[in-house]
Amino acid sequence: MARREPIAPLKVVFFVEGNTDKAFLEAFVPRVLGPKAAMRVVRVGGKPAFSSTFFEAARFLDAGYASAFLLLDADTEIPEEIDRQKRQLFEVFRRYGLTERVQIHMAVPMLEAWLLAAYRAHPEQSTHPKRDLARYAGPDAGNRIGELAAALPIDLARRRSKSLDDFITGLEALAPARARQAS
Amino acid sequence: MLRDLAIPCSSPGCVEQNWRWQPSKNTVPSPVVDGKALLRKRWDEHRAPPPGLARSALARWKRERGYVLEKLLVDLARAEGLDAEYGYRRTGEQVDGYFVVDDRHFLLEAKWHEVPIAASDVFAFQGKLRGKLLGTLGLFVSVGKFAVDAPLALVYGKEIDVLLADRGDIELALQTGRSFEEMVRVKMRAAAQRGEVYYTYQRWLDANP
Repeated sequence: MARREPIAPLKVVFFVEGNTDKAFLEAFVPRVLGPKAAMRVVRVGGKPAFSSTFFEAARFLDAGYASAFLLLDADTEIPEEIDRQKRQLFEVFRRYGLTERVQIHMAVPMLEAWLLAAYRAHPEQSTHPKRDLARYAGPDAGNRIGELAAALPIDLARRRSKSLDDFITGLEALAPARARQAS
Repeated sequence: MLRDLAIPCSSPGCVEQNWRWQPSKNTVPSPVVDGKALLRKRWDEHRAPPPGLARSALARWKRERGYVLEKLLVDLARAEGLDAEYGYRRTGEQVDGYFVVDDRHFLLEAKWHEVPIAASDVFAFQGKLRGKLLGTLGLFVSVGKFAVDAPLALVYGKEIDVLLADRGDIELALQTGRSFEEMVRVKMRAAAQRGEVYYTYQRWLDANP
């Protein structure tokens, strides 16, 4: 009888700008990938530093991580500008042959807009998502990102925010079985 | 004998101790004794303007915040025992501070602006390194953001002599158990290994726990 090999837990690394993104991911990603998925979040700092993340991404992928995600604020809602930013980053990873296991996602116009999707129909059109989120979720919303991410109605939010939908789709591609279970 | 070649130092604050020059404790002004807790308090006090300031007072407060930042960074370096000096002004040139890490001499530029720091601002600082001892490096600290093209503009086809630091770097360096010296070392290493001028302290900690 063939012996069953233990299934290695799914490991994913995220490169993000700062603490807000980290708090969001730590609460949100287990909801999509399941609690057994191992995740590591690297806070890169400002957007200009992302073009050099290929080095760490390669190291994590070599170390057995299934995929590396770059998650940044687009800081704009203009599709051409978002595409340009993505292409620029993608080009760096292409140069190092890392595109297959690296995904680049941009929150439009910023991560707070994803959380705003719980309250508003067109969060990506908000010109000031932080302020708008504070209006709906309370003035301390900025300090409760994890809590808000844990309570975010996923189906509703992904219908309202295309960039969030893209991100979740990217995650689901890593763990299709889990995604089927969730749906 | 090598020791005999030492040049005697005649200025009052200078102490000839060893081959490796060290600042005399007597020359260190009193703010140096500020502990990290005091520096953190000073930092926290300047993160947001006091409420109710009129526009002109607010502008003045923001200007002064820049000077506070310069002093805070030098005090932080000194609190860790680094050889560091406050800023000075020469004809047509202002340097915000000076420090030494691992025998590398650094000039400091500190900005606390709302708008992102453009590549041209960093180039202007780079200009200050010219005319100084070859090998002198620069640390450009911006509490605000850097323009997206700033780090790349510094690297393409040029020798790297400026490292960039941001708000997160400073906040981390002010934490107990972390240090300004380690922050600078992390940046030097990333620049030396991979030519990265904007490599944050937090990134290093997250990627190498």
